Amino acid sequence: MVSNSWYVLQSTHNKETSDDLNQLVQNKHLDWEITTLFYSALHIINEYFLQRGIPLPDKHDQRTPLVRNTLNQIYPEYQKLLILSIRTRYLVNYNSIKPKERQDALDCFNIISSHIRSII
Amino acid sequence: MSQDDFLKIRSPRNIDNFLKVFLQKVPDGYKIHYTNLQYPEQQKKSTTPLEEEVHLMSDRQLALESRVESLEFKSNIASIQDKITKIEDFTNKVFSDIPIIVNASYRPSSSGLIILLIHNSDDVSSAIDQIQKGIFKLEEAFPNIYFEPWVLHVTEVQNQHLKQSKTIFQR
Repeated sequence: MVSNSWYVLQSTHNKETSDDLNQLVQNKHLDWEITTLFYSALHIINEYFLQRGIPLPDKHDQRTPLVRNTLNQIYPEYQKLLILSIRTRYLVNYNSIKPKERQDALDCFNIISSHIRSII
Repeated sequence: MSQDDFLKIRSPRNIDNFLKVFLQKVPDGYKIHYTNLQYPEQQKKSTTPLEEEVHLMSDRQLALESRVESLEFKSNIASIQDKITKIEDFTNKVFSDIPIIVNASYRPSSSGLIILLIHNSDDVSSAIDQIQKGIFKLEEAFPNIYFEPWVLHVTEVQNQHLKQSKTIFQR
């Protein structure tokens, strides 16, 4: 059973934010929809680390190798979501993000979230 | 000490030559004459042969340590340079095999390497999938290095993206 720890609540909140943005102002804030999906995944992964007694990484460059080593089944989806979120946060103009990227991010998030929630 | 040597000491312009000859030829006990001549202060620091030997050994040790540090530094630099060359070659090989990649470059990040990959595919998702396969190969070949892929379409590139990056290939 999934606990109601801070990380689970944060993950749920970020996912709800993404859904709300999508439903209320569809395609207007795709950058934030993708960013909140990424952070939702990140928090649920942190919950997994917490429950396994794995020290929580501070930075992406620590977390990413840890996901690769401990959650290899979902590593491709995590990395893709990270790449998409880096694009929206640092690389491209917010209005050049396409709805297809949001859908890709959501697909990756769903795989990550369902896998983690099944093992925590 | 020969008469020639004696004559040299009386001629100030030859004092340097004299001292060289004198110090080479006379037994250690005569070196007191050297200090009596009030030669420059820095050369008077040794008053006994033993102290002089200690100073010489200390100087030699410092020189050797400096040399060792220099060699170690060169060795470390060579090792890093060798690794960078291997990563560049491997990255070139991996990504030049992907036709949609038109430019690959990299720059150091706080704890690894940012690999900037510019593609010309209209399908960003497919481009990322193909790029990830290349990144997985890099991660497998260099497991201790963190690679952060930055993916851009050719139309999205700005000057700032390429700043401080080293191009691996371009086509």
